[in-house]
Amino acid sequence: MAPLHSVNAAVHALAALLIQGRGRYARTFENVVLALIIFSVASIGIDSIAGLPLWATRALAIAEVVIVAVFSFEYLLRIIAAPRKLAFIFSFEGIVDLLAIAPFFVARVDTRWVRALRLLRLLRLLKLQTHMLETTVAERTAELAAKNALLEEAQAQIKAELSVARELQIAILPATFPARPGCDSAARMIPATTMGGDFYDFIELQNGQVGLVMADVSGKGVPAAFFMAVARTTLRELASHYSDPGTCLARANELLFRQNPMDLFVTVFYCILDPTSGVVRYANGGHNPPLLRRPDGSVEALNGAGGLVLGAMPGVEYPEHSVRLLAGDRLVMYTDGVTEAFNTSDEAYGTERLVAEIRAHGDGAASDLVERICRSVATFAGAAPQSDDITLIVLTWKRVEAATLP
Amino acid sequence: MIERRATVPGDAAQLSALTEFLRDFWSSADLAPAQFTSFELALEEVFTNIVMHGSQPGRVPQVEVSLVLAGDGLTMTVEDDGPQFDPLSLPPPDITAGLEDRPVGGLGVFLIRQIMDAVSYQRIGTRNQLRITKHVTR
Amino acid sequence: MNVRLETVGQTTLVIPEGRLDFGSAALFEKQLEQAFVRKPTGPAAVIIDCAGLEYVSSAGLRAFLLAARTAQRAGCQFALCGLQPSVRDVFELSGFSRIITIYADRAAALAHAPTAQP
Repeated sequence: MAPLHSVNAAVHALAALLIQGRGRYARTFENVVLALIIFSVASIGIDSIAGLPLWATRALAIAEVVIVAVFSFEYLLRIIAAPRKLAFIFSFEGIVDLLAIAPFFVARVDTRWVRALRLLRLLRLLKLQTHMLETTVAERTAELAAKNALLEEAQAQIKAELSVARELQIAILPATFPARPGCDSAARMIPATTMGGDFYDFIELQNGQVGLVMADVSGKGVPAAFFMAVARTTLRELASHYSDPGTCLARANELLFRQNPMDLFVTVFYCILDPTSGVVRYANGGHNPPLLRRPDGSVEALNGAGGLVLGAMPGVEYPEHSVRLLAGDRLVMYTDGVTEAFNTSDEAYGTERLVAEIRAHGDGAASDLVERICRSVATFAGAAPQSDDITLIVLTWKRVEAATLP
Repeated sequence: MIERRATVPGDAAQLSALTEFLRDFWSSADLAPAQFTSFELALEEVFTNIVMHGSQPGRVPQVEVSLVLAGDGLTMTVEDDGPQFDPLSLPPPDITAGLEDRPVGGLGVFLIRQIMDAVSYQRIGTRNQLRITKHVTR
Repeated sequence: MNVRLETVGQTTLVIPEGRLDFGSAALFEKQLEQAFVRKPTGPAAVIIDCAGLEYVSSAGLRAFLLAARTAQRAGCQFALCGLQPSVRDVFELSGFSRIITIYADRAAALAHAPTAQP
């Protein structure tokens, strides 16, 4: 039985190679068959030439035998290769192929008719064309799909990495103000859809003092995020060495100006709070001046000239100012993501609305006010997308009672 | 922060386009009109210097102007990709000289220095970068 | 920018209008040259009425300087008048106000110019 199996297997393999395959062998076989079809049809014409020499007639007859042999071989292989044999045998293609050879085996039929019938096999030419076209289209589609898949994968990877970077950027922002008697502070940063450069910082300094930073980097995306990290680290480091806000900003500006390959700028408001006295010393580098709410509800911006945005120009000076907080005073630091939040009618939230919000609701916990402001901005903006980071710090200073001092 | 950028080829005919750009920025940033002329003048002086000194045979430099308003400070940066040229290195004109002795050129940079708060120049790679800052009122 | 020339007796009045910048400086210079041409001996004075001049840059200043020199060499009086505040500032800053005579308005300038017919 074994030899029969291997013959069976061999025949199937041959059918697969010559009929089903897309490789060189199948294509060559197909071309040979087509050439024979064409020759076979042409030979009808040659045959009808009167006075054809004997050798020619004989040659044609031999050719006919060869052709029928090849076509029969092909026909058998097609049946073997066909997934549904009967379907193939009775299909148009199958019948045409059979008609092309059958009459040869049936006696008393004029071979010229047989050969004419072979014209039908020319339909195979068309079929080959379509087949080749389909193959090409299928190949190109498969190529495109593969390339698309690669692109989508790459894009998804970039998105994932950027998302991680963004989370890191937000995660490194300090969550809370360091505990100090008499101080209640809250902060919030709501990132915009693209990577931005807003940041805030609380820095523990000597003698219980606390440095507060509110900053905004120009531009967007990865360069802004990078510069934000550099600016924050630089300020933190300098704050531990220079106890004057103005000097701190001036030195930070020098360092940032010198390492600024992307030509970015950062606005910085930096203040140092003495929690026992309520004195706030501050300097401003191009940032929105914070708002101060007194217990009676009045709100005003911290005044005092500021210096230039950091990173733009060497040798800039940052004048220093100070304000003495009174019991119940609230300081609100913000970035222009709040005041420049636009609604669908292209109106900006503006400073007036912010002041109104602070005036009306600024007498509760710091975190309450932060929440209220954020909600107010969100309600105002409505469906309009958030184009800029929204960053806020609220600091309430309740004078430390004498009894609680160490 | 309000930031805007414009890029034009460095030929004299583009000056009006740049002035328009500056004008648009001024109105959208809601800045006081009184100081507009100072910046208009500074922009022209910087740009015309680039046009005069920045051309090479067969090549006109690309000029990029960026404006950044942060707080009360306006920063104008003009970059071009022409050959190295530091306008601040030009000798200042002697403004005390009499009519006959006054040199005809060199006034542009001098004026910029007078009307602006600070000017700085850097050569960054293949670009000249001139930056000008001034305190403005809104 | 456009430039008009008028004659008031022995004086040529030059009246520029618009912006005097890098683009229009060449035109201004040409018109100024024309102002000094007057048969047979040239004008006795050339006055530039800048009331309509909105803006002047260093290119414009250059043209004024060259005209002032031409006037001096020709022995002709030369003055400006009607400078708008921002233009006046530029003249002051560049030190030009010290080497060129500036009057408040046209009337004042003409009052000092020789207008009597020869």
